[in-house]
Amino acid sequence: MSDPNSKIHLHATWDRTHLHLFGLKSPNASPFQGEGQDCPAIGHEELRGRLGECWDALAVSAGMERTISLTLPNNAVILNGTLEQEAGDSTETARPCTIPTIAFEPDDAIEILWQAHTRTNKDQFGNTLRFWSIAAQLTREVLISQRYVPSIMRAGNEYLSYWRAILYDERTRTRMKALALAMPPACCAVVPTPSPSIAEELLVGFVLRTVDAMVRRCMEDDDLTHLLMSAAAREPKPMLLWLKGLVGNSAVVYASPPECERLHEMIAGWTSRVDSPAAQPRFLTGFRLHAPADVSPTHLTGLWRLTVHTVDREDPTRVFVAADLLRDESPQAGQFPLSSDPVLPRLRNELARASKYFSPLTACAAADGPLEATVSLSEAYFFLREAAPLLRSEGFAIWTPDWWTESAPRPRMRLSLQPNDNQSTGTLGGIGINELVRYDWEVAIGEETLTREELAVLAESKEPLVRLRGRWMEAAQAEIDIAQKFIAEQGSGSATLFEVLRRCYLSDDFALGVPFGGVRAQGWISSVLDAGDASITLGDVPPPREFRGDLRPYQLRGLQWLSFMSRIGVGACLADDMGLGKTIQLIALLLYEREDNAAPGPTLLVGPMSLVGNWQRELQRFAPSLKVLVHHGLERLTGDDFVKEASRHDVVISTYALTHRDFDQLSVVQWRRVALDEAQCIKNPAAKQAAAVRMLPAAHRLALTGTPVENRLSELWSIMDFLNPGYLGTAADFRRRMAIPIERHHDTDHAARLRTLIRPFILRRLKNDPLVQVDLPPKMEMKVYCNLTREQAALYEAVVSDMLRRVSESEGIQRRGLILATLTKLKQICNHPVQFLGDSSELAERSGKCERVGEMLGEVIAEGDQALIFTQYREMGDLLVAFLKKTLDCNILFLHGGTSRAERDRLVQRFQASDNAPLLILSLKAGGFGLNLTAAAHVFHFDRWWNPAVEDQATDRAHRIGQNRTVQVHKLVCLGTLEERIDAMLEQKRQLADQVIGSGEAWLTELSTDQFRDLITLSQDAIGE
Amino acid sequence: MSDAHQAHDSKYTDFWSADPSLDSIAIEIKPPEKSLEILEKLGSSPFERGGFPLIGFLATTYEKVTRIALAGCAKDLDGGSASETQSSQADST
Repeated sequence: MSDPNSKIHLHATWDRTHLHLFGLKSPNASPFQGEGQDCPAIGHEELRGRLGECWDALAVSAGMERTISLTLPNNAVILNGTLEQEAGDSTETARPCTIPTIAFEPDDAIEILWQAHTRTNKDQFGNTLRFWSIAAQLTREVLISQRYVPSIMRAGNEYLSYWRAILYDERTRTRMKALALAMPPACCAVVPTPSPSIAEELLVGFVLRTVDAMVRRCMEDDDLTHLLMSAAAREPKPMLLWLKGLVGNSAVVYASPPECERLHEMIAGWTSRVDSPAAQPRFLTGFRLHAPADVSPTHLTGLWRLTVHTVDREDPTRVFVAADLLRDESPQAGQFPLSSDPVLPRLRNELARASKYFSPLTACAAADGPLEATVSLSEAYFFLREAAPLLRSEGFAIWTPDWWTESAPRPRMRLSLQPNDNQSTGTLGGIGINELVRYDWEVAIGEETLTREELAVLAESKEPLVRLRGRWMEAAQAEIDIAQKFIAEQGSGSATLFEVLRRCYLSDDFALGVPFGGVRAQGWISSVLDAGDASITLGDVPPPREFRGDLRPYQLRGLQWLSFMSRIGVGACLADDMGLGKTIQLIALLLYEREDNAAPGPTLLVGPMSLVGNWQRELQRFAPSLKVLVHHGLERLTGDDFVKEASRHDVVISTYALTHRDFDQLSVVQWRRVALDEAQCIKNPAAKQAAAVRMLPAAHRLALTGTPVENRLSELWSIMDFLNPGYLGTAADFRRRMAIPIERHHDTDHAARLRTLIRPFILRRLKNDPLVQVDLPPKMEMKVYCNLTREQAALYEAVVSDMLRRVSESEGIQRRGLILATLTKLKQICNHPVQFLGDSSELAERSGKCERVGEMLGEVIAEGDQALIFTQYREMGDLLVAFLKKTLDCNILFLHGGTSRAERDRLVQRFQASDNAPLLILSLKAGGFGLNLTAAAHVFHFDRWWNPAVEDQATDRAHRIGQNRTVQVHKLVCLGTLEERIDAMLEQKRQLADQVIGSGEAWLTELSTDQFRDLITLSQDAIGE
Repeated sequence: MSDAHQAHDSKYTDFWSADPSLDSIAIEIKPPEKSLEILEKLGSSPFERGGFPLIGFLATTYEKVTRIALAGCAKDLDGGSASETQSSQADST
């Protein structure tokens, strides 16, 4: 024993569970016992005596006699609370000495340290004791400020109640770090192999343990505690058992594991309300799945590994293998020093939570369980497909193999087509929809096409995960079985291209759930199927020499496609957007096939009545060399006369109505081609007209339509059945196989299959197609020729007859007035009889212009575009609103001279915003100035001002700066009337017109009576009916 | 103590020393500005009614612990005066 008068230096150290006090004989004694050296510390008896001098006996009596060893690795130096290795060897070997201590439980330790802190005379206190007494003040601060919550944690197979200190506020974290930095190295030496962050770890653990211990101590003898104990004894409900663990000596919660888990969930959720984000555990728990290596496709055994990891929440790149924690004093624990719980117990808690979603983790949750699981293939699949998403949503980090995708690639049936070996290639002989081809059905998963052998292996394995070509992938077994069976039964063979494509469409096996993956074609078959693709060369087809105009590049392409399809005998549908020139592409085709004196036979061109005049004019304009016969009207040819004349002409224009009415004579002609314009007119397959056109014999069939035919399945079947009879089966069959799945169930697989099947037969270009756009001018002006109805013609002739007589009998101002009045009346009649008559009678089917503009606006709306309609007359605007509302069933806006400014602004704004208002009618004058109507892609001039400057100004409403697409301008002209003649004059003398036509139509009043007569007389081809 | 022993000990001066910054670390010993604020943050009990009054129990606990922790600070073993609020250092870092 040392001299009682000698100074003893009292020190303290915390070993994670107890505070040890000990006395050193000298202030800087070595903790190591060298050769022949005494232990630097005093013994237990003396130590108790020394402690009794500083603390009251009661406090000291709570201490227990223990020993500790302060160890340091050789050559290690502790600086600033961290362990650093000194460079170089040391010849000194230090043996740690065993130091006698008085050890205190956490609550007793707090009493000791609180008392030490308030002691004024601290001469005997070593720096370590000073340090821990300051740390104990931190515990006091937490307790006084009520920064702790009741909690529960899992420790091995047990659940423990405890009071959790809240240490994550910024101020506390800063002070904890500062304290750790100030910690004497001796405090860390109690840990044999300390981590670099040992100081923080010890400090945090100290505060946590002492807070919990002090709360229990304070409540130990409280009346409420006794009540709680009694209640728990009477009725051991989980909540009471948990509370009991908070105040008693034993923290264990004696409830069943499921009850404890439920408690854990509830309490964690409840107390998380007071946690700041920084209060969350420093680490995340994560799982990584490892596939077995070196597995052959036929031996899919081998266990998969699921490793457990911890991830630093503050730096997710720091990922640790949890299994390392099982090593004693793993440095990893020190990576998360400010965790409110020790790392390993919290990790076990997390694993227990995760095991609810993936049961193989249950063993890992046990206190002594491994931190890695081996799982079977089926368990691995369950983890990937089911458990991983759930775990991720619960806050766990998941790493899946690179080959795994969240949405499994489904097997798809793909059709491979090759030419027959004995077929010629490079010429059009031996090419066509009715030529024999070889076909093979294939199964593809993702981008990989499976061989038959691979398919058999997959089918045999019956596993959800398979290894193929060195890669793992998910395999939908049910679909693989279906696909294998299908291939076994219909895998390959030889048939006509038409039949093969039909079988592809007809195959009911797809209804069982294996989607269609498209067609792969080689040789000429590829050309046929991909003919619409701009990159496919279809042979050299130059613009026809007799064509009076210029074909834009995309129109030339259209001609090439039409020519190709015609030569291989495949019915084709040209479905370009309105305004792109379907008409002239067909006209170009008719000219092309007559080059070099070829005589292919007549083409029957069938269209709505409203288009007959337009076709006449267009053919006249672009192909004057073609012989055109119009089969229409009461004076049309019949019987043998018709057949004879039709055969002598290149083009016979007729109407849908007449295909049924005159079927007997139409069906006798040897038509080279039957072409339908506005083919959507036969959308009702049961209608007589539709049935009639389908029965007309022809070597080739063509359909023109501006509507997105692939989106309108009823039209699609009818048109396809006209073009290539039987291709899509019967109408009822088509409805069952395709229309119902696509339209009612929005089945994308069926939609994709249908698109593949009809793609070879449809060419559709859109205005906004980059390949088309580049060829389009900013503004395209087109004349739309319309016929008069019989009623209009009668009214027109009556006015002409009457007014001519009166004009010839007048002169001067009276004459001018009569001419202008005549022009007005005739224009009104050309617009609509009701405008002329001024009554409120029925509107429908009384005006050729109205019928035609209704059809065109229907197309505009179907394309999702907007249009402006200009008229000179307010009353015509009113009529158009009524007519179009009834015809198109959509909102029609009307801006006229009587519209207030506020209303005008509202209408313009609504139109520009495309707010369910596709059409805006404007009277030319009321159109005003400065209106920005760039939402319109189409401009219709319903009636003409005959002043190009005024019309252009109106058109420019839609073509102001800000319009970034082509504007189509449609000028409606009634055939055989003054409209057509004045329009022709203006076209021929445009320059003159700019000079002469200064204001309105005054210049017309200068015409002589003969000139005036020529201008207004109705010609024979004016009438459409 | 022998000279050799003293020489050996001198290597460990730092081993027992605390960093000077220890003296400047501030600990606040004062009652909370608003008692039981933590219960307001926790809100109502997560357990069904009819069981033990958890919130009341916690309120009692918090108040009692605060009182005892404050009182523990007042005890002065050397007979010096005690005060209810005390900090280890006048200025906080």
